[in-house]
Amino acid sequence: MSKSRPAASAGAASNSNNPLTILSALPARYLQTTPSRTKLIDAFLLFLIFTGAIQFLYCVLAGNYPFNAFLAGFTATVGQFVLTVSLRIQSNPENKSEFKAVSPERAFADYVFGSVLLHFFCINFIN
Amino acid sequence: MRSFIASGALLLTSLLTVVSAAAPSSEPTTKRFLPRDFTPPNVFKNTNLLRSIDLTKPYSRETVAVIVENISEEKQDEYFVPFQADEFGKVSYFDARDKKGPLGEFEVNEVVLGEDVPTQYYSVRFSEPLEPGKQITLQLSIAKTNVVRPVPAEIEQTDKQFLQWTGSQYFPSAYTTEKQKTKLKLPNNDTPEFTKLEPKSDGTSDPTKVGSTFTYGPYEAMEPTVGGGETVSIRYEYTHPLVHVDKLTRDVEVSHWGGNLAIEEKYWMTNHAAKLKNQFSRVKWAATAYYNPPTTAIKTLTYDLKVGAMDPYFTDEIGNISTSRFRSNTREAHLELKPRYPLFGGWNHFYTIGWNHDLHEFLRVKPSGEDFVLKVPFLEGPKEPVVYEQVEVRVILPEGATDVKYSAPVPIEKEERFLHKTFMDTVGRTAVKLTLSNVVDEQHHKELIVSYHMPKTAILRKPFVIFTALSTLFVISWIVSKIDTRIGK
Amino acid sequence: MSLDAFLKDESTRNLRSLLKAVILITIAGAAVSSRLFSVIRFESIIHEFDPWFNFRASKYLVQNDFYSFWDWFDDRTWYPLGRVTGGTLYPGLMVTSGIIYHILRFLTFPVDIRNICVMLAPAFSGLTALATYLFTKEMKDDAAGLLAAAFIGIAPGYISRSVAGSYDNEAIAIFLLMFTFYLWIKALKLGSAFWGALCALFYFYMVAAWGGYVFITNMIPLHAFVLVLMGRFSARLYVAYCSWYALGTLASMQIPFVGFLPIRSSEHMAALGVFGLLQIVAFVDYVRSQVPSKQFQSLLRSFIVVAFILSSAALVLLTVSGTIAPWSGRFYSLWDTGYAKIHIPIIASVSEHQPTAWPAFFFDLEMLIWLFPAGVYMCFRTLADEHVFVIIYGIMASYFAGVMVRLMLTLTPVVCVAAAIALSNILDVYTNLEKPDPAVVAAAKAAEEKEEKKSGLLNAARGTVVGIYATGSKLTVVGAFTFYLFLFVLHCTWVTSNAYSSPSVVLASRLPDGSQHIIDDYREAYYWLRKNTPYDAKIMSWWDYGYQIGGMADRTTLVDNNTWNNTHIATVGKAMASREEVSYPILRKHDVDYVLVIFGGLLGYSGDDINKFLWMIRIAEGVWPDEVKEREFFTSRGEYRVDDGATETMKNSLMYKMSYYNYNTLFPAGQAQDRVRGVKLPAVGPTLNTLEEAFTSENWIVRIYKVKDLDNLGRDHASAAAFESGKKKRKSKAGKAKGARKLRIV
Repeated sequence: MSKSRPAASAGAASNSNNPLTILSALPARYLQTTPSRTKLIDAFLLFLIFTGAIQFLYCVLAGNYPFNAFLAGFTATVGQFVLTVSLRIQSNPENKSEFKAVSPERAFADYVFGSVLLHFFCINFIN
Repeated sequence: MRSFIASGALLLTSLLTVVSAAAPSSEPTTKRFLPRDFTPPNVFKNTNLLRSIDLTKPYSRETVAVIVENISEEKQDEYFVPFQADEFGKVSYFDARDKKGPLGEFEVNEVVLGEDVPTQYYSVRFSEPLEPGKQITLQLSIAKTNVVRPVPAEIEQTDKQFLQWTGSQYFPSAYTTEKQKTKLKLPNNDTPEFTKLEPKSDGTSDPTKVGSTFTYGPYEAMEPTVGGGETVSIRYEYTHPLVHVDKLTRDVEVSHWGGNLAIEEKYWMTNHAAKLKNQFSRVKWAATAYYNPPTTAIKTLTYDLKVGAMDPYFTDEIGNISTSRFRSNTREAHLELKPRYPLFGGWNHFYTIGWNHDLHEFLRVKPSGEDFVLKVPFLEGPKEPVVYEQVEVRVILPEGATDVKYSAPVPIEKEERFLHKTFMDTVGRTAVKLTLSNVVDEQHHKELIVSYHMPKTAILRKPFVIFTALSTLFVISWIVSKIDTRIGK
Repeated sequence: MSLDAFLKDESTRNLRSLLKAVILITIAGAAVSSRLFSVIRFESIIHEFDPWFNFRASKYLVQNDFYSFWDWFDDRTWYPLGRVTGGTLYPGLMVTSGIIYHILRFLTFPVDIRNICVMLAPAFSGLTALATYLFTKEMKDDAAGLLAAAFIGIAPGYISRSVAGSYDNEAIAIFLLMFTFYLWIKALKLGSAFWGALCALFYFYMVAAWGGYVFITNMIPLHAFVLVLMGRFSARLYVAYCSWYALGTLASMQIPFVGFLPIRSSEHMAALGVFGLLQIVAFVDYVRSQVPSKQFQSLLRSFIVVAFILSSAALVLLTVSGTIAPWSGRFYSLWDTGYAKIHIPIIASVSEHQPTAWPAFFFDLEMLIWLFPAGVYMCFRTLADEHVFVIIYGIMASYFAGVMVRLMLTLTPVVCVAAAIALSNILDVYTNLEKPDPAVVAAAKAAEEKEEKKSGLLNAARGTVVGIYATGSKLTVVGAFTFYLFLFVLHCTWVTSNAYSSPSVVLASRLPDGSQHIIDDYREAYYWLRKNTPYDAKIMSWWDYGYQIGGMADRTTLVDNNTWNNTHIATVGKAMASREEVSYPILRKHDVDYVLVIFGGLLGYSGDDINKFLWMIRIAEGVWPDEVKEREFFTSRGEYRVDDGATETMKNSLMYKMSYYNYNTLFPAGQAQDRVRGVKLPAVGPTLNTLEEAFTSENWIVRIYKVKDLDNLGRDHASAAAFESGKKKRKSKAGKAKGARKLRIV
């Protein structure tokens, strides 16, 4: 799918093969090509990663005593993360060909459904 | 058979009274309340009294024929029979009738004096008062349970069983008795033990024994006695089970739609025969299977159901009991049950039996088309002698039945009315529960008559409910299918 | 209008869907009714062993509320330990029937919970047919779906576990399995988080219903993994898998019996690993889409490989260090069929855990088994993502079915699906009514001949007008397959009626006049226990009968089919296998009131305790190798005998004594026959001192013994018995002399 995208091939032509240069060019490209809605999603993703990391750190440092509470919290983060990533993938216009049956609105509805389910189970799990 | 016809005639009259009576029979018991210190007025004299006690069944059936004379100055219509408190509780039924005269059956009432009064009474009310100096021949029929017990209480599996009956020398009476005797009829003449009383004045032994009949007395000029003189006991062979039903529930369900009368009975049964001294031996039991000697174990129970009984079933808590047989033709409906295992003394069993009848044979519709009279057997137990400790008969009428009246052939202790909900009922079916205790198998096949009113519209309730429910479901699903749930197209 | 046009025309769409619905309902009806043999022939009764526990639990659930069911501590099993039943069962089945029960009660239908339990498996088999239809429809088309539904509806491999009365977890689990797979395929095809979440929901239901959920837990990741390896990673796969895994795992941990297993045990690690892998792959894919530099791509690819290796290494390390539980014994026995025999005799002792015999495949699947490879081949031809799934499923399930008889159950659905695909392909080709245009045919023929010369037959098959048009060949093939289908139906009905419809609680035999005679010994004895022993009496029996005693006799048992505590079972085994003097203290210590044994010697009923005795000995030997030795039960020539030649250890064992006690008195002297083992028994029967016979059923199948109390005078039972018998002899002599007076004494 990546081959069909003209923007990418244009960017590739001008760059050398040095990984560092490629990496340094990434943020700029990102800011340039990504729609602002997707950026919002990405910000949420970053937040989730951050939350997850903190929980994990807490678990490592302070112990995992109410294990199901930790697990519920952590899985909630991870689950929300993957659901959000799914939403991001589905709503990305570049992936239109993959998801013929899933319109962005439908994707959002799915996302809400999944999240509700996820948090229902989490709350049930915490007791 | 004769008594059956007689009771049938009585029932017909009572049916008429029930149906014509406007008020529902809400007070089913026949009790009379009297002050605690009550003693019967000394207005009668028993001229001659013959008491025969039949012990061929594992409970006693007493028939007392007594010539009663009114010795007071006024007309009298109430004759009292005393019982000691513990004997009183053993009475299963107490009937009285005019033996020779035209008056037939008399009303009998339990006299309620209070909880712990040592002497209790039954009162017999003559339908016509007795003139002073006149006589009447009363016949009292009394059945008592718990008057026999196996002695010894434990026997070997193939041993004979002996029962010991304990009772009184005389018939307890509240009045002076000029002459009386007590006859005991036993199932056979194997009687290893019996109470010998002092020889009578003419030197003959008391009792005298002729075949399987013992006679105590005759005794003359007896003062009123509640205890009945000496305690007499007799031990006789009775190698048969003592079937005791701790509880019986009988459901009679009327379905106008199915034209069906469904009867279901549940038995909590114990054998009160002598217990096994050692454990049960299958080898011995299998050996007796060939020559089938008398045994104290309950092997089979046979039911003679009403002709026309259909689809019987015989189950317990863990499923079908596969050892039953049913024979039905135009003359009989014979159900033979075999419990899962032979029930020896002290063993228990629980089972459910049920069957169906064509409703038309039991239900009469009055010309109005909205009033019905149901006539079903009040109890249908096994042919074997049975004692029921507690009996619950529930009559479940169709939904919407009102003005329920009934006439029971035996005194009812408690009556409850409630609604029974099954099979898509909206308000529930009208049901009556009749409770009684200490019943013996003599009461089988007597008729219970229930009359009720059911408007024609009530019968349409169910199809209407089903139709409404289905159409609601249909409409909802139609609406749901029409809602556009697609997102973002 | 030609039939084909009629079938494809838009205007007949409603008619076709109606037809489909009718066919499906008919299939469901057939599926249900073919499972009712046992109800018609016997009665509405719960079958076998495990279902009795499920039934008892369901009754508990409907009599109490859900929360007390959840916290149910059962002190009437595993005496004196008890069992935390609420936390050690899969509640799905009971909750399902509980819900059905309450719905019906709400609609004022007076149903008995027993009838719901009996009818649950047939009802769910109808749903399974529907789920299989949907699943196969995703693979090929409606026609294949309908065929598959028909196959699964009557395939004996599935019927074996779902006849009426077979109230076991599998009854609903196969429906859930197929439906979960269907939802997974749907999620994967659409790339929809919604379907993924639904899949997770049904996965949750499956986890709640059956321990075999691990099969799904590994199948879906395996599918995803193979797809990634095939270079078929797509955003759809990511969405479907991640939404399923994240929700499904969390959901599965709600079941107390499963608890933290999904993150702790090895069986679940594959799913977690693939989840991680997909994150990485997705991330890399994203980055790659941003930066399409070839060298960089290879760099990233190697990054994936390194990450994969690292994570597997971590997994192994965690397993070794014990954070993650290693594979459980049952799973080892899946890989190494000999494992259980050596290490866990209790698993090996269950007949359904034995490896499958070859004829069983044909017996259970008949023609489907040879259509199955063809179907798998068809999947290879149109190798879409979902077809990969069928192929993997087919391979895995075939292997497992070969290892364990009971796993034939998981194989059956995929065989039905594959066979339906194959058959529907055949029928598609051979029932095509279209006649080709003669001119086109001629032209094509010429072209075909040319091409044939060039590249052989296989390529020729791709020609545009290739098809079978000769009526003769069509009729032959279609006719043959119709015949096979009829044969299949006949076979299925025959197998179901003869092999799978016996409740095993009730045995049927034929009388000489051909009428059916029912042998009801089990219920006779269980009901005797239920009615004539104290409510808190403790019954010891081999674990096979534990659930039945709990369900039918309603008495406390020492061990049952849950088999969670091997030592406890071994204790029972030891009590059965030892001398009376050794067993009696064990019985006393466990407050045993009655001992129950199954004895088939009179009737020739081979599933009795003497035949199971070797397993009791083995299990006991596993715990007390010094006290119970299997070797001592075999004669010097290595024979397992019960007649005169039996070893002393055998003759003195409690089990032997209880089985044959008093048995010889049933026969003329010296003629006692054991009809199971076909041997003549010793002339003198065994004596029992510490137990007394309490009840023996009509055909001697169930024998119940009462454990005697300690002797009043403090003697041991043997000497007390000897004293008694001496006294009796004397007494009987005296009795003869004074026999006439005896009657009056009392």
